[in-house]
Amino acid sequence: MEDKFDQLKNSWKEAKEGQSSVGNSSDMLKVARENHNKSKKTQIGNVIVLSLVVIGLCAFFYFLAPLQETLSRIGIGLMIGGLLVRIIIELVSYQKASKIDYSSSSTDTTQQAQTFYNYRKRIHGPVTITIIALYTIGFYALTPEFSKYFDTFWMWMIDGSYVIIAIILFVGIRKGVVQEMKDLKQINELQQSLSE
Amino acid sequence: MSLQQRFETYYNEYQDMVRSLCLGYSKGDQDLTNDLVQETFIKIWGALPKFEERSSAKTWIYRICVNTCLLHIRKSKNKKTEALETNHSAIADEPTRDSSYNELYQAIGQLKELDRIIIMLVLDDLPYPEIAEITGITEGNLRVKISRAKQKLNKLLSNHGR
Repeated sequence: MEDKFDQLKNSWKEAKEGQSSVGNSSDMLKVARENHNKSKKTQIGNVIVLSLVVIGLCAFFYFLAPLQETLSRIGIGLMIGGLLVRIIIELVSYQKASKIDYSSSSTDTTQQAQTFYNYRKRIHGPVTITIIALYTIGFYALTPEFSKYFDTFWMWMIDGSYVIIAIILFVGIRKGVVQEMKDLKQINELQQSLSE
Repeated sequence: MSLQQRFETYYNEYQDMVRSLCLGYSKGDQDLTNDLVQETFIKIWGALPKFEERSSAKTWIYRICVNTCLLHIRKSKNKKTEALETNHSAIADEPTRDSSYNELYQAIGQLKELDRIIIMLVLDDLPYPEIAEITGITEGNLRVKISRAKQKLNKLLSNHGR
């Protein structure tokens, strides 16, 4: 058995020696720097987009449509509250993801990745559904007061467009969730093979 | 030495080691290898400020490379490369791999991801305690895994030779 393995070892060494170095260090440094920053920006990007939506909603309801009825105010509270909870979740996610230390041993790193994906799994379950449900209830709670200012056609348009947007969002979110659950499954398998 | 200088030193010194590990892990797939090498060095750059050189730089880089490979499996089905078009081309222009090494990569590629990594570390002549430190697997357990992987490889190579 050792003979075969020694042959393999020799082939491995030959393959390594025959491999010529590629790219210079300054090119790689540039790539590393830019991608490191890009990755951070992408993660923070979601939080920025959600924050802008909150600011937009606040400005809209404060300056353009200062609704007076209690039901409408509850609706606004649910919509903005839901978004704020989502922002907090994204920030915690970002913090947890950046805690994964790739310079630890494989068992530790895999454990950290597993913790992160388990957190994401919890978030994708009841928490996300609750947030979306509260946001939807909040949105439709505005309908009675809005209908005083818009005719039926426009109310159908407003309420109907939300359904279309909700479907698009649902499909997008579902795709991400399915991928993350696949990731978690693979990490669990890896963790199992590390501990076998 | 500045961070930049340290990074460049590590890159010049260890890029071949990282590349061969990634190449073996990816079963000789050049595109995946390029992604893994790049991802490894991006992570090295990110972790460099915290690296105090308590362990050897080689072991530290091996750990990052091994973890990058092992956790990359989840991305391989849904590639989202962060590569910058302009810079990536400079790094991706690889010399064509000698086809005679196909057999080697294919044989190693038959092993499970973790076993593949472990066997490549053995092929790189790393002592068992160091492999145990990199993977976090106890030395006893590691010996069992190596023995099993060797047996499987032996079987594969024997079948191939027939």
